[in-house]
Amino acid sequence: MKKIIKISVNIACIFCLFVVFGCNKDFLKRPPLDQVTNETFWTSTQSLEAYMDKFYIIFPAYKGRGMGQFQADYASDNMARETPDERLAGLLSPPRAASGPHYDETWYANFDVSYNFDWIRNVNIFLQHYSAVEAPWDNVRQYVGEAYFFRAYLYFDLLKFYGDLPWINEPLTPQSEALYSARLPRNVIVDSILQDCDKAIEYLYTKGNVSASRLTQGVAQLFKSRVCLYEGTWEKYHQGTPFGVQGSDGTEYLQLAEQTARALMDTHAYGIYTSGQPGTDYQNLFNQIDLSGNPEVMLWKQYSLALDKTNYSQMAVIGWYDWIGYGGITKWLVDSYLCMDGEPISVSSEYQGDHTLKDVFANRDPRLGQTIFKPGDPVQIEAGDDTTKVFTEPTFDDFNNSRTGYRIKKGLDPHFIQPQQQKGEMSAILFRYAECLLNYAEAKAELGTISQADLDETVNVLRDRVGMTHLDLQHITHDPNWNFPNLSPIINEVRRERRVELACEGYRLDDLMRWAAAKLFIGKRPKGVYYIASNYPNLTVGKDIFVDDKGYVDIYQKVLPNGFQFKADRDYLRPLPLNELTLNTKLSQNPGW
Amino acid sequence: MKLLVLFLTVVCLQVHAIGYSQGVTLRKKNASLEKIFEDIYKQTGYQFVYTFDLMHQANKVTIDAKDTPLKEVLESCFKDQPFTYMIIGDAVIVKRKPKVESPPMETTAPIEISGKVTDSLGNPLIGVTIKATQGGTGAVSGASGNYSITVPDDAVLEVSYVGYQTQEIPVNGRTRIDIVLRESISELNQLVVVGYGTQKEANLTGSVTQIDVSSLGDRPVSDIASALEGVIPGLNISSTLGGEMGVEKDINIRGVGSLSGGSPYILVDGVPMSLNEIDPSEIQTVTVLKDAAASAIYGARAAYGVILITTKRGKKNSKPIVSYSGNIGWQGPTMLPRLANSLDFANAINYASQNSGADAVFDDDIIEKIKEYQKDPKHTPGLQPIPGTDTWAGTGGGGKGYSNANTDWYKVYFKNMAFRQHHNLSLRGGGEHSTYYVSMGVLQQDGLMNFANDGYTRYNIVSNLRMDPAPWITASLNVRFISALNKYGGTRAGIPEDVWPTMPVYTPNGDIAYNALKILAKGGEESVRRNKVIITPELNFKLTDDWNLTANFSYFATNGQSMQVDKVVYDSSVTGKPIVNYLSTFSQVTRNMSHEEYMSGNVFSNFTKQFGNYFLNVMAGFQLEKDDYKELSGWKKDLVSSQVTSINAATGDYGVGDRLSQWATEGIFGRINFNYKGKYLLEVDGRYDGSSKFAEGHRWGLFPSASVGYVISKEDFWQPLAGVIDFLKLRASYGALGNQSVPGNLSYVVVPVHSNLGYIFDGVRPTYADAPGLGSYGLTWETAKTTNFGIDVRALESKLSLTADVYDRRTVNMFGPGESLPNVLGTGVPQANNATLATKGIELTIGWQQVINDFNYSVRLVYSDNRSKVLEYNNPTKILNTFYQGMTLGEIWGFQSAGLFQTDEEVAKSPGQTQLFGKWGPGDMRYKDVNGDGEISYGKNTATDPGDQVVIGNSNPRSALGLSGFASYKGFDLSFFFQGILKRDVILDNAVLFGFSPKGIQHGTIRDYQLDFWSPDNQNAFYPKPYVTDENAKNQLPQTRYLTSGAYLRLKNLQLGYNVPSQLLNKVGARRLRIYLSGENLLTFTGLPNGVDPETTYGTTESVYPVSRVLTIGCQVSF
Repeated sequence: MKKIIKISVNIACIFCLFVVFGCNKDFLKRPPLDQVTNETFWTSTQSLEAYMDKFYIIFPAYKGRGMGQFQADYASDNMARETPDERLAGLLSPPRAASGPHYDETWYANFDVSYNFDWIRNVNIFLQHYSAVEAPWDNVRQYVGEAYFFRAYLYFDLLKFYGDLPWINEPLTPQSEALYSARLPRNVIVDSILQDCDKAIEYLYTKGNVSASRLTQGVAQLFKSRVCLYEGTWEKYHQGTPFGVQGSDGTEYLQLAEQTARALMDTHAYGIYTSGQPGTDYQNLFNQIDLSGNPEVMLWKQYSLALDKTNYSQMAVIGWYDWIGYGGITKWLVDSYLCMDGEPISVSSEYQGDHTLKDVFANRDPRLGQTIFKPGDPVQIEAGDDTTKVFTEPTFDDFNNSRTGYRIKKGLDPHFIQPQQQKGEMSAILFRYAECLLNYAEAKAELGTISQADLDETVNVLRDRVGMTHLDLQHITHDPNWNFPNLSPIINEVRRERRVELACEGYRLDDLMRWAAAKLFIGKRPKGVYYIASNYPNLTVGKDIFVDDKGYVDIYQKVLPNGFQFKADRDYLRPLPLNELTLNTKLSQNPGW
Repeated sequence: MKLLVLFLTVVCLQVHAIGYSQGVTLRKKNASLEKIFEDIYKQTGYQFVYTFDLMHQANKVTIDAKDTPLKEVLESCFKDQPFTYMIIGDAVIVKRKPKVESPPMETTAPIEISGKVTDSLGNPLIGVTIKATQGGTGAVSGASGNYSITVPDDAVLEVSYVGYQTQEIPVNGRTRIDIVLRESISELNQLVVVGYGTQKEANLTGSVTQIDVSSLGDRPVSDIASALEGVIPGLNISSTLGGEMGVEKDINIRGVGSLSGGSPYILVDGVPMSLNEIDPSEIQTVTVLKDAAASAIYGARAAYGVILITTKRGKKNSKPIVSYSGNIGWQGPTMLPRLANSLDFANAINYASQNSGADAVFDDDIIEKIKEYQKDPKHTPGLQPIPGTDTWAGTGGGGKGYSNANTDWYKVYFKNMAFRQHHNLSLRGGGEHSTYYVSMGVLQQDGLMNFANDGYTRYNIVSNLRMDPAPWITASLNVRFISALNKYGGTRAGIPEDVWPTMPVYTPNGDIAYNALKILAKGGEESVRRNKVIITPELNFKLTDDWNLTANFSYFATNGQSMQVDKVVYDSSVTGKPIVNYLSTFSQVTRNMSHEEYMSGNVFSNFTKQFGNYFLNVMAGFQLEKDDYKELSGWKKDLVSSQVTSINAATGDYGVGDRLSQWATEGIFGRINFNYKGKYLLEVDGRYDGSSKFAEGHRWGLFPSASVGYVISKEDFWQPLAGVIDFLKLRASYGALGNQSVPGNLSYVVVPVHSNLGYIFDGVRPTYADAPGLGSYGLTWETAKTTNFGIDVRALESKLSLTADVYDRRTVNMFGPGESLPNVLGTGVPQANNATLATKGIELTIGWQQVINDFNYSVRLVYSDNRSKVLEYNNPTKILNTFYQGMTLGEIWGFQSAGLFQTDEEVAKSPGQTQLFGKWGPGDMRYKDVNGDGEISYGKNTATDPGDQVVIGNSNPRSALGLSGFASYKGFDLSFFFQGILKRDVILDNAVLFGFSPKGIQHGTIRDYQLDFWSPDNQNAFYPKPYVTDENAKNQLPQTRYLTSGAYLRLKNLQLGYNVPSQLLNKVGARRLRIYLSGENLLTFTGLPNGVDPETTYGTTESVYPVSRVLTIGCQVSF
């Protein structure tokens, strides 16, 4: 009897445990509790918005602790940093593996791209799933347009670095055959990018019909014109080389660039910012905390101390040496600015020479003095304090971004408030209308169809802002120092205008590559100001500072005795990572590598 | 405990008024002696003390007694037995018959000796055999451990007791000899804790190591993991956090179990716990189950071994014993790197700048100031204002070239000495039907950081209660409470990584100069507290005499609370104005509360029966486990007052978030043990498990295992050898175990949602969704199949013991890392069951123990080694960025160094290196053209075309060694313990090895040994020419020249103790008092560069908390 009681107690005990834990067959079903699964995510327009929002961080802006977009030109002949750019110097070697995407805001400003398709996959996931959301098309189209825009944008970055590419337009899985697809010719990729651009243009709302922080149809049009101009000139100037496209001289793309820019101009939605102050308008375009309402700014990135989204730009642009290893602006860029009379320095009677900084700025295109510090410029006007730091002479040291003696001013607001120097709110322009005008002018110049009316609508509008003499198609002065003596005078002048207007904003490297213009710097070294030894009793030439035989600061004299060794049969495109070639035998390496 | 105490524990202190004449009524035919003992106990209350192995030699008994006096019954039972008995109090002690009665020898005057036999804790030992080595009469210690014996006055007493070391004591004319017996380190009769039960060590067939922790408990370690390193063969312990206090160590058994990692399942009294949560003083035994057969019964979570810890219990019918053990001590870093002297440093940086074509970082006048400072540090300012500013160089993080002090930052950051203490007070004992053990412990360690109030405190409270109110039921309740508090300074990343020796600690106006240090000192604090309550009730029903059923339930709840306070810290400018420290621009309080609840229920039943010579044990049961984790955190900026660190008292921006996760497993299991005469042993286990971590349809797995043993020494033919080799057992096992230890929910594709995007839309930083990755839909159990062969030997009267195991573990269906796929995939490759790994290894333990008169010593050597190979992995190209078929785990690919280039001509003549970098010159590394193609390259970066890369070494630790020794003489004892890894290659982190970081000078500082770099004046340098840019990377590729041996041997512990004689103690009523001095990590032998501790993340990174050297003084008292 006792035994029976014992056994029944035990059985009851087992039963209880089953009740406590098990008994339902879902005991082992434990889905994530704090995360949304892909099956449940795509249900509302809010989810589409939340998904597309993060793509906005990929635009080049202020990154980490540097000057952001204003130091992108270090990779070109416009600027030179403390140590030479490895690509221009011809020192690149093929990487073993692709690194991660560079779109995050790391400490080290880097506008580099690697053979990485992560973000493209992210877009493709959106395009695969958005149609699951049941909502009126008008509530959805903006986000779909953004997705197409970003795919185009991301692919364009890859195209510029790698040329031919596989076209991936759906999220792949480890089983996808597309993992092993071959590269398609670059023009096929460009056509696909342009298709995406067209969809973006079709779907995105126009300015004023959508939040000012989001992409608009206009931005997509500007971007499309950029892609077309890039490919048009690339195919034209690399024609007949391994980098070119067989049977194409790029004319179609140039025409498309022209048409697209024209379409944007015809919307009259944007204009050139001016407040009627030619002496400061250009500079003040780049040093605003709030750019809303600015007619020229098509998309900008806001920073805010209150929202803990700040940048280092003011510290960086006044040249606080903080590990980045700053440099300065090159004599090459300075010399390309015209004199006030519209003549190049080689011939202008107004040119005062460049033996003193005062002479350099005398009678020059006002944009020079609004891009580069000139003597007497305030550097720092402290709040509630009379001390105003004034720029006099360059110091060539670690501080002040004036290793070449020409110190960048773009992006600086001298009225800086002390606590904000390292937690700044300076906004960043992501797209500006001036580029559209320049794209239009260049496309027409390349096509040989440019007219004075075109110039008056484009180049001369930009010159008007700063009070600069107009470019007159009929009276272009022959410049013995033209960068491209084999090309037409108008192409030379339009390119000069682009270089000057967009100086230090990150366009120059792309321009050099698409124009196949490496001979501008191959075998040469960037120079700086004329060195006046008596101003620097503490510096020893040949030890603390290097000066060339004509007396100009020559920062790479020691490390690049033979100048930049960019290899024109190789370095126009980057090498694909070795691992990619190994994993996908259908991939071929770029020419020369 | 060594003594096998069956259900009848004998510590009978009360004498029962039961006479010998009490009648016994028994009718049995061919009954086992044990059975008869049990019946006699029931009838008379006489308890029997005997050992298991003795009973194996017992013959069956047939008896027919009716109210027969006990003595007669016993006579009849013992008539044909190879042993005899004696009655002491109400206990019947069963002991082996003396082998040969030797004739009495001619002796000198016999004297009577008396005394008391106790164990090392002062508890009386009853039934200890004391006899003269020359033969003659013997004596057995009585109820309170007292004995008396008459022997010649020059006799040598042999004192032996099961579970204790046999001692030989010369009489030397003494008449009173108190004897303290030490427990044997390893004794075959010891019960080993195995899954859901215990087993005699002699009958084990799997690979199991059990150690008694009393030998480790005195070590001044804060967690038992540190004490186990090197003690158990095949158990590997390391920490990626160096010597940081209160952190969980990385543990593996027999090497890397799986490419996805695989650590053992740790159970404390049946509850999964972390080793750093338990007070070493509470621990009774630690058992490590290593092969599949041994750990099979734990199934789902035991694929890579099991560590079972049992805590102390009370003993039935024993007086309350109060014990205190405690120690106080001081700890300091074992070793610290030394920074280069500031002048050497500045010159080195300038030289590197020159090599990169950059400007000198330190101008001539600063170099002068450095020299001045070194001459007269008191009167020379160590920091200069940044030219043209009101800011000190360095305070804002910039302008490093304007400092000129000479600071060895590691010395500034770390103390030489920090206080620590550990105390444990416990009470244990038991009555007729219950036992109890209650313990309270506290550990408090001060941190090693200067400028920060860091430290670790842990409280442990345990109560283990057990009762058997009726013969058919036993109930126990174990309750445990743990509270641990970690305190940190203002920032946890406060270990110097890149601060330069030229920076002074203080600015000339007395402010802390280095901003990270300032944050550490004044920028707030962080504390993390974990409170854990564990409750484990268990009921054991005795259904019949051979069959019982156990139901237990484990529950724990962990509450975590962390608080981080960031305060605003201002730097002061040259003129004394406050300026923003960019590391600290706002104040904020962050609080985090987490709650984890774990429940596990086990019901299992055991059937044990001896059928003649056949022994059978069958066990079966099921288990359910579930775990829920919830966390809520919130932060708010802008504290009203830095004194009130509450979210309520902040005014700024705020945020909240949570984390929720859960998992569950379910399993049924069974085991059959079978043996014949204890000679032929067989065990079969099986487990069928389900886990919530896998998707439906992939959830369940069946994992069987089997093992056999053969005790050769029990064979008749062995008897001639019996005096030499007392015991010899061969073991073999094979089993499959499932592993489910993957991050949860890989089969669900999640769209991660985050807040505060780095882009402002209409005045808001929105919550945004990240892209989902790929799901591992088909993921299921990986299976570790282990074959194990082992041998256990005890020889020379158990003085020598040896255990050796060889094993081969195949991990099939392993959760491999996602295979290498072209980057166009655009996301991480999902984990899959895609690989097979084979691990082969050996383990060896050799022990020697001997007692010579008053001198008692033992030595134990533990050695283990293993290597793993990838047998299958989906990598057809054998690309080197992941695993490939045939790869040895841990292999390091690199170039063969061919010295440094000395001239440009040499560069021109040598094979081209432009595939690695565009420019090479004197002082740069020269690599060997292994494949002879005239060019140094990575080839296709595959194992078949590696270019000029070769396997230059292996980073897996090999040849792990532990050597311990113990000696005691009279009251003194001395022990030492060495631990080491005899073979391991490391490629040190570039910052640790070269100093000049490939990421640029700003990322590094320079240590003294790093100054031996190439320059025209130092062409025979060890290190290549330095640069200040990422050009350094070309010279710092993994290569033979900079492959370092990570082998080491460390004196982990050295201890000297003294036991105060019991005569003295008796006067104050104490049982035992031992005082000791102990030192941890006293000596280290390593080939690593100066200041790199071999146990800090294997010495490869720079910013780790130093490992401590500890000196303590302690005592153990019991009353």
